[in-house]
Order: sequence, then structure tokens, then C-alpha cells
Amino acid sequence: MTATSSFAGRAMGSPLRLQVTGVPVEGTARPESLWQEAVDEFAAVDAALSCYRPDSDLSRLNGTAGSGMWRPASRRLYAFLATAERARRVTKGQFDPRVLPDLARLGHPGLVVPMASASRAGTPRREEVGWLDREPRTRSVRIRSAADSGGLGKGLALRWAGRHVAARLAGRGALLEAGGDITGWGRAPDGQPWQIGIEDPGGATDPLAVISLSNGAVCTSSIARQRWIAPDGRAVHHLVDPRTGEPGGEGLQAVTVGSDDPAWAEVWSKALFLEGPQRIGEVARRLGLAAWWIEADGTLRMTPAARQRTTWTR
Amino acid sequence: MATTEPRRPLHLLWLVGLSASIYAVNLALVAELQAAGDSQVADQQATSQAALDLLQAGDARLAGQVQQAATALQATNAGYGQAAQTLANLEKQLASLGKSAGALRALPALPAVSSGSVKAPAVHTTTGASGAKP
Repeated sequence: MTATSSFAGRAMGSPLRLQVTGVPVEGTARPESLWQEAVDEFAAVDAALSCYRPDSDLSRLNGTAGSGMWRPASRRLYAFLATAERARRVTKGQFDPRVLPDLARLGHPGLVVPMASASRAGTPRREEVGWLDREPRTRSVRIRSAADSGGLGKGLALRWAGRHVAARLAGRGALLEAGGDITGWGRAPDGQPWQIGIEDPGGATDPLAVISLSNGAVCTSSIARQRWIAPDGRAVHHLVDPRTGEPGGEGLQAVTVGSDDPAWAEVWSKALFLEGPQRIGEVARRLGLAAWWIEADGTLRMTPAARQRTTWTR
Repeated sequence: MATTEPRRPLHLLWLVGLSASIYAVNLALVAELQAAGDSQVADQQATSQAALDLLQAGDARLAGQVQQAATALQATNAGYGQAAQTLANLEKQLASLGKSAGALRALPALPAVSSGSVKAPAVHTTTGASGAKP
């Protein structure tokens, strides 16, 4: 059993934790330094991509949505927009950042949504393309619809913070997590791969399954926490189907996806959730994804790729 | 004075009569012989016709059988063609199955999964709800 340094705080509205195994040798970064880099990266991403702060780069850009104005974008904002558009295309619209007005219409608390965008909530947008214009040379952008950073913002924060940490680990193991999104490297203190429990959305203490993680990421999209009552009295959740503008994935409680990259794990967990219990297995298997999903009755199912990484099930 | 009666050529009449008789007898003999020959030939012809009729009937039966055999051969050929195509498809499927089996054998063994009554192992963290919160 090797020594472990653990750090905990909060970032982007979620708990942020870092575990680093082993003792730093001369010339390598101390765990405190790795933690500080992670905290700084999350703070920078929050300043760039938060939809809860009116002064974030994304909120300011959303204020220009549909105006035809070109705006310079920060490095992180530009990367977010490019990744979000690519995710929209790759998932054939199952992931779409333009659900921000719908979330506001459904009464999601705290979101900063420009009035012009809010008035367009609920309008079909699946066939609409070209919501984003980019000019890579000058890193300028122009958007026609307000965008929600949501889970992808956190996935990108984990990706970028993780790169800082991984570059200076020097063979040590580390686990960085932000509210259910996890990325890990190397081995746990006991020399084995990191063991990650998939939470029971029903609230039981024991996880539903335990999975191994050595170098990669695991993200979960769940409706266990972010649920509220909409202005029209309906119980709704935060995973909005871009095709309907309404909460989707009925019949599922949570979807976990394992990937090399936390941002794409976030994208696929949300996109697969919206497939619903009838189609999620077929889609995830066809794409070769490692995916675990929990149905409304608490049944845990997984793809063959996920089975490879599973070490225990209830 | 003696009158001499002119001499009648009786011998000629005799000869003519004899010749006619001989001719008549010969003619009757020849006619009889020809009638007998004709009757024999007719008998033989009737026998040959019957045999010929039998042969023709046999030939017609054989032609029908040959036609049936040709039709059966054609059907057999078509069936064989179909069977060959089916066999080729089966061989393709078998080759594909062989590839799949090879790929399956090449897969790494699945790790053991404990479940059921075994208590949950210690975990380093858990993954659950994600998404930013206000």
C-alpha cells in the first residue's frame, strides 16, 4: 500500500477531488501543486463556460445569439463550441448544446438565458444547421442560438485539468473527479486499478456495480439529483431531448460511459440516455461503447465492452 | 371326170387349236402361280405391316420417354444449379462464421465478476449524477 494524498473542494457547482498515490521523487511535482493546477483549471473553465454566471465568456456570447455579431472567443470557449458542434454531428443531434432556452422554459434554476433566446424555446431545431460560425484564424465566433455548456463544460474541465496533472505525475497514480465525472491514471494505492462504484440511483449505500479504471474516464448522466417542478406543475429533469425540447430518456435512471476522454464520455452518456431503454443497448453496442445503464426498476444492464471493465455487480 | 375338191388346211386349224390350248393351259398355270405368289406376298406384307406398326408404336413410346428424360434432366440441372448456389452461399456463411469464431477466440478472456451474495468491494470513489448545478 503506497501513500496517498487526497484533496477536496468545490468547482463548477460540484465536489472536486484529487487523489495522488506514491511519494514524489526529487524534481517531480508535489501533490499540492497538482491539486492547485486542477483547481485553477476548473476556475478558468468556470469563468469561460458557466451558464450560471452572467459575466462568463459563454453567457456574454449567448447574449449576442442571433444578432449576427462576430465575437472574439477565449481559447476555452472556442474549444467548447467546436467540441459541442462536433458532438452534435457525431451523435446525429442527440447531443445538442442549444437546449439552454428549453431548460430555462422548464424552470431550471439559476441559468443565465438571454431574452431573445428564451422566446425561441420549444421550437423544433433538429433540422436546423449552421447555428455556429467559426473563424479559426482570428478565433472569432458567431452563434444563432444560445448554447448550454452543461456536462460537456465539466467534461472539458476534467480533460484539461487532467492533462496538467497527468503531464507531471511521473509514473504515480491519480484520480481526479468532479461530481460524478472521473478520470484516472496509473494504479490505486494498493497497486490495483482504481475501483469505481456505480451509484444506485435508488439511494442504497452499496453501488450497483464496480468497474476498473487505469487510464481513462468514466462519466454518468443521471436524473437522480437534478429534478424539479416546472412552472406548469410537471416533474422534470435536466436531460432535455433536443428533438422535442422536453426531458427525455423515459424509462432510464442513469447512464454511465467509459472512454479515454471525459468530455466524450459526458457527450455519450447524455446522448445514450436520450435513446431510452429500448434503443440504448443496440446503439451503444453498435458504437462499441462501454456503457452501463440503470432502468426505471433499478435493473443494471451493460454492453460487452463495459462487461470487460466490470469487476463486481450486486 | 373327177372333180377334185379343194383341200382344206385342216392341219393349220389343228395346229392353231393346239397352240391355243397350250397357251391357255400355260396361261392358266401362270395365272395360278401368280395368284399363289401374290397371296404369299400379301401374307408376308401383312406380317411385315404388323411388325412395322409395333415398331412405330415402340418408337413413339421411346420418343415420349426420351422427352420425359430430357425434361427430368433439365429439372435436375436447374436443381443442381440452385443447390450449387445454395452451397456457395453456405460456404460464404461458413467462412464468415469461421472469421467470427477466430475473432471471438482472439478476444481476451473476460475478467471474473463477483456478484450475488459477495459483499461489495471497497471502492476509491463512485460515479453518479453529473451535470453542473447552480
